[in-house]
Amino acid sequence: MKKIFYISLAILSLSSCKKTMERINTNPNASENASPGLLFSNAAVNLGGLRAGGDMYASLILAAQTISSGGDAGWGKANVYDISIYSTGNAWKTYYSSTGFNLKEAIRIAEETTPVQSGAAAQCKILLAEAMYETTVIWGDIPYTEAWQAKTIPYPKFDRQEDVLNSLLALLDEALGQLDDPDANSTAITAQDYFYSGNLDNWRALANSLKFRILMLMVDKDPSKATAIQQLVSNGGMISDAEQDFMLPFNEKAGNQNPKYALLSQYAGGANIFFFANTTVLNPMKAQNDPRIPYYFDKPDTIPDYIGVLTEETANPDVTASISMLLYRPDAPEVIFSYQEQLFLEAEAYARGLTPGGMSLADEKYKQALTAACNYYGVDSLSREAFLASKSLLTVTDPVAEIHLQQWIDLMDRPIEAFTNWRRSGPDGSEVPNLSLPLGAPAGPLMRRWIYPLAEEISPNVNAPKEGQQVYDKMWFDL
Amino acid sequence: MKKLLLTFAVFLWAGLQIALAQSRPVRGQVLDENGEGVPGASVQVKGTTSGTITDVDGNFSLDVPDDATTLVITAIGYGSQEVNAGDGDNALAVNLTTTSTALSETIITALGIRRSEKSLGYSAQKVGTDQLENARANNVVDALAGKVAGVRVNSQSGGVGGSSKIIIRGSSSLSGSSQPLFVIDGVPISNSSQASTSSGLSVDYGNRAGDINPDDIETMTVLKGPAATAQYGSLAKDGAIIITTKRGTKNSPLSISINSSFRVDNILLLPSLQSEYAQGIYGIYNLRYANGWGPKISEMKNTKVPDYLGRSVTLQAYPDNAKNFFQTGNTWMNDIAVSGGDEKNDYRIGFGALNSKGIVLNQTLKRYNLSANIGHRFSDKVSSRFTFNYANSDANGRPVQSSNNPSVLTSSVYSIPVTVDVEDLKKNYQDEFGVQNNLTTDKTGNNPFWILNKNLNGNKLDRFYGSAYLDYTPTDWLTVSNNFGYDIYNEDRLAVVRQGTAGDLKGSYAAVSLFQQRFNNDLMITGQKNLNDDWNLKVMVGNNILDRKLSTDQVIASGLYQDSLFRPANAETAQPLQAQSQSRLVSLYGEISASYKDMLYLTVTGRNDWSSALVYTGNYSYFYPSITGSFVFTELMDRNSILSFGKVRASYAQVGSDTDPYSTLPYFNPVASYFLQYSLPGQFPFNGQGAFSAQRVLPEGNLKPQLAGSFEIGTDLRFFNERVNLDVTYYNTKTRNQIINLDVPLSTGYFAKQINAGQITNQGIEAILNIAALRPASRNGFAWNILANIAHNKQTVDELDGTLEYYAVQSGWSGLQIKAPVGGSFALYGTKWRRSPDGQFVINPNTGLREVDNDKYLGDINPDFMLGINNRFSYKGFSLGFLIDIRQGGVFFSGTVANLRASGMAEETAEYRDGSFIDKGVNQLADGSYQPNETPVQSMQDFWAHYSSAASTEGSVFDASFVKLREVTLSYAFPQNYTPFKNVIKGLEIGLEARNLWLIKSFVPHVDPELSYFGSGSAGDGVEFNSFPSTKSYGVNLKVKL
Repeated sequence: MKKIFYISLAILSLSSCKKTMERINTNPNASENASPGLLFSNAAVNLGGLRAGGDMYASLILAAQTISSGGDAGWGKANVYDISIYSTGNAWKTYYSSTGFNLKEAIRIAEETTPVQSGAAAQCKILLAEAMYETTVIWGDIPYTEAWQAKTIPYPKFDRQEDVLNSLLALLDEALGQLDDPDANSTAITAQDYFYSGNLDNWRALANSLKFRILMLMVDKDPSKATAIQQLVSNGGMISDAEQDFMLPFNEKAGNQNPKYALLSQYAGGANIFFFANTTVLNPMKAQNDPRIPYYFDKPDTIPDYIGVLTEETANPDVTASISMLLYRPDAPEVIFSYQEQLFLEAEAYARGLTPGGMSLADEKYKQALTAACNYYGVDSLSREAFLASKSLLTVTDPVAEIHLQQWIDLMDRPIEAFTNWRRSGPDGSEVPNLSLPLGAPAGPLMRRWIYPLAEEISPNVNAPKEGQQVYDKMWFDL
Repeated sequence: MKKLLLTFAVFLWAGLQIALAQSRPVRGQVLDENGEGVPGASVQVKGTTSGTITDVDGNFSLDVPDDATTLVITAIGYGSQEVNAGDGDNALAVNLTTTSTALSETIITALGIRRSEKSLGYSAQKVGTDQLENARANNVVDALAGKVAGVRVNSQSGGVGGSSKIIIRGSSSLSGSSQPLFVIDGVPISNSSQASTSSGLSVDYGNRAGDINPDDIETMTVLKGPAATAQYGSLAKDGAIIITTKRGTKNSPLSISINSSFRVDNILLLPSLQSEYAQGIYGIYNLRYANGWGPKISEMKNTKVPDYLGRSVTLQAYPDNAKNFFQTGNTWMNDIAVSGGDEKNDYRIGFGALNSKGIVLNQTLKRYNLSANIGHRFSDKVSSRFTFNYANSDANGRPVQSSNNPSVLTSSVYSIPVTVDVEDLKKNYQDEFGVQNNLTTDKTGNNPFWILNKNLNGNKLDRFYGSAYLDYTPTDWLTVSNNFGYDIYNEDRLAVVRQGTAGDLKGSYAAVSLFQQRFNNDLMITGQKNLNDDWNLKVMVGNNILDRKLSTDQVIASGLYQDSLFRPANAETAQPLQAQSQSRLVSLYGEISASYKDMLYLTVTGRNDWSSALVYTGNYSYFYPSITGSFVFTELMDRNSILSFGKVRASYAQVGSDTDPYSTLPYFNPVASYFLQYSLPGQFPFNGQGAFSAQRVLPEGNLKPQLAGSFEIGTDLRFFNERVNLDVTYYNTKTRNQIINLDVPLSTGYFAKQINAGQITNQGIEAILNIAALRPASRNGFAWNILANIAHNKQTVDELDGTLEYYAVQSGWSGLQIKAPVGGSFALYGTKWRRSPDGQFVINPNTGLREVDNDKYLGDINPDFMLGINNRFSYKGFSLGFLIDIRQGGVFFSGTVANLRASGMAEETAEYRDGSFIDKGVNQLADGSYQPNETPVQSMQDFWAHYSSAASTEGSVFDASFVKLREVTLSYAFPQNYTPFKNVIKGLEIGLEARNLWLIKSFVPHVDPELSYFGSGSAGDGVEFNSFPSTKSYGVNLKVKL
């Protein structure tokens, strides 16, 4: 009897001991749960921060040659293809972890909840498709189908770019399907939806537009995509209003400011002394008396005209025009997809005969696009109409090239899209505009990609391509 | 504090009472067979611990209790002898005879158990007061360098109060720290060197063992492997440093000892810089660059150019810039201790002050230590001991290392253009309005004196640790003891960037408050019995509870409204982070040891741990045993003068260990910020909304405890009456089921996953040779003692997770990685020069620059062997000692050297600038064949930029071998008769001492090969990035005993 008493006493004390230990090992710093909205919030803001920040904006925009560093006067050496491995690594980290993985977890949680939070799941999928689109246009072949399955797939394989893009089309279709779910509206992310505040019609339009942009990227290499393009254009339902611009709003509050402004604020007291007008953009604008020039650029008061420099030409701050503080204002939004971008793509589809409608419809879209672009910067209607009066696709010898040039000008401050659009704007040597190797860049062809990050992916992944790459290696879509 | 002073006063008074009332003086001389005085003999009052040591002439004087009748005299190499204490009227003369005694020295082992050295089944090495009190190191860890076989010490930087890392028998861990456990008076204390999580700031805040006052230490025992530390469990998987603090002597009058040192510190090694070329680019003067790639100064004699202040000047070289930048630092170390005791009590109260000024402006360290060690015997059966330590330190001007921070110092010092006068720069770091005069026109062109004067990083620490010990001996064979220990500290760190700093114009700060608390309790019941004349049996069971709490409270704020005020409300953004953690380890342990005569010893131990960190896994409870044995084989031999003592020992042991708290379950973390490059503030709430992040490390739900198994065999041989002593150990430690966070491809979404991985083997040989090369034949004789220790360790990564070929121990810079490859040991990997089949460099025929291959093996980061040779000479009262520390093998990457070369500052970059330079090598032709290279490099700037760029690691990798004169001490102890004020002063010793004096041989240009980027919390080694330079120091020391 006594024995039993002692044994049970021992067991009791041990089990209570275990309870104490469980209490001790309860994490006071983190939660076992998180709502899809809170994870979406992290994903969205990190994506916007990357696009507008020092890793992506400041390095890619100089290498893409829409903006000049002004040689020794400006920011960094990315224009001569000296791109920091920290930048490539941080970008990869954002796409796969801060943005990608948080969206994947949000989708998992949304779909495991009863009833399924189909609205939230769809929003997350659309943003994920955008993030992975950016990843593949920067690096080409990337892990996608086997990504984010750490428990079962420790070393994701790299999918071919064509397969990634097709998978993203499928992901967007999946999201569109979920948006049709009757519960979608009631289960949408609203508070943390910085883009559309839970307006699922806008998300539906965005999903279609993203599909359109992907198809337009693919169609040169895979002409069979023309069918899908035709279908999308004729069905409509894409972004059709400037109100639907897909952009992350920054605000005046420190810590929420546009990173471009924050950079200037921290390093230059809030003035732009690093980024200058590149002749590749400014000169064609001047040639067409573009009313957007004073919105794009600031010039010294003493100089009558806007003067640009070549990509790595030394700027003279007393003479050279710089990128405007309007673009670099603290509350400038980070635009990811714009109405004018949509219209230019539609104009291109008509002009190239990818979808029936002919050049007159193309011209109509082209003018709408220019109107939207002028409106975006607040160009007054008088100047805008005067400018538009001089613009017509019907009078130029190469309407498609004209559209590409206008896309180049429109995308000046959006390096990923500008760089991608330039690469798809024509076969090697015939891109619009015709760029040359920046002074001081290593001898060889122009840059066409980023190098995979070694420490973040290539080294730890046994299935990663191990052979070295060059910045001028082309990817699948790039002819 | 008041209370403490009061206690102090009470003890002082008590001590005086003892001295005045209860004793009588006895003096005498201890002589050898030839009638010469025997120095260093112990004279003890029988039945007490009260006693003294004879001086160089064999003289002693001692106050003995009135009722004491007998003195016990012992000396190494002589037998022990009892003599009548006399009545104090006449001097005693004691004659000793030489004997060959089997050593009876004892050593403190795990759990504070004192054992005779001969009974040990493993290697344990003791470092005594004499080795610690001379040439004192600020940080006790540094004091071990070169003194213990198999122990390697690395200082992270030469800044005052910088951290020191200690590796015993090689790194056993793939990730995180391989630091030994520090145990003070039975209490495991923290030796963390917690990194701040503030982004972009790599500041060395020191390691917490640096809070210990070396002067309080009586002995340090280094327990090197699992066999020795099995009883400490998880915490001591990488060995243990057992520290016993000084205590008072029972039945001895109050005595005061004073130990004072003053030292000056200078930079150990200045880089060799060129002084021919100004700043600029491709030979053209340009103020944007702080470098040496401008025009030749001698060719600019007739040209006026603007300098950094806009003055029009003729260029002129200031070749001593680097030297003038650094100042002479100094350190005062003052210690005073009061000790004594009566029959029931003993006490020692010590106070230490360390005041150090660094080799650059505004770098200071102040450390104050107060310690008390008080023993009290309540009765024959019950006694107690109470120890208390308070450490207060205040450091400022801690240097920022690495890169990507406006406050990094080393790179900006070493790139001051030779045409800029450092003295001028110092005077003009700001204008009359307090606006910085930048050194260059670049966006981060800070004047280094601006950094030194404005952007200070400091930390303040308050720490308490100590123990309360009680034992009860109801019968002569049974003891019950309990030791409760505590270690509590609070550390406040503040790193500031003042307004107007290039790269962070609005100013920012990071304030971190760290709190750590440890409670440790050991309850032990020990029974010991002589079964008969030959057999002795000892059985012990015990229980340990260790509870650890950590909390971090930090604010990173940027955009200050008002300069110089570092509070969140004064900042545009302030990101808070609060984190707390707790873990508890509960253990039961037991030990059975048996001995037969003085010849055979056997000990078996077992320990079972219950770890809170593993409570959610299936492996909450885990057990590990050890067995050790020792055989004194000379007991079976006839006593002879050749081999006076010999033993062999063997052991096998396992040590299990757990993981960090909360790491085995998945969580979502609230996030206060989003990432923006260039340290821009990105803060949640964003547009009013918060955010959460999924976990970045994939937890393993069924995590197993890590297990280190070690086999060790050794021998201890003493020849020629112990004139030559040799101790050799072979060990083989296998660490299995390592708990590591394996870096996974980011495409998995995770940064890392927790796994039980692999097996690392460390095997090696250690030898300690102690030679009394010259034994004093007479009391004035000349003595020479050599103590050498050598250690070789071979580390092999046997297995990882089965698929991986290597594990990235550290990575993150331009392809330079420390990797643990399966089948090899930790090694440096990076880009290597491409070589033709016959070993020549392959050179690009267009540029004339060497081609590289990525991700290649560059060399092992571990040494082949470490050798320390300590010589000590003594003659009469003089004593001269010097310690030479030798490292052979391994490689070292120096980021400082790479910067010096890429910036055209290093001496070697001045060559060939005028003419053309063709690098020796071959070009590879289209058909794959090779022809000698004839393409000159376009400029030396291009050559060195390429040679030293992050993308050409091999150019900055060197052989890490070195020979260093680590310590030199010269001291003179006054014979008692000649001591001034001999009635008051009972001992007087003065000395000269020097540390880290001379880098005798090194293969690394410009910097000390011992610099390290990695603190003690990292498994990385062999890499340095703009580390603060190390120092040499020399000074005087005065020891007085009253």
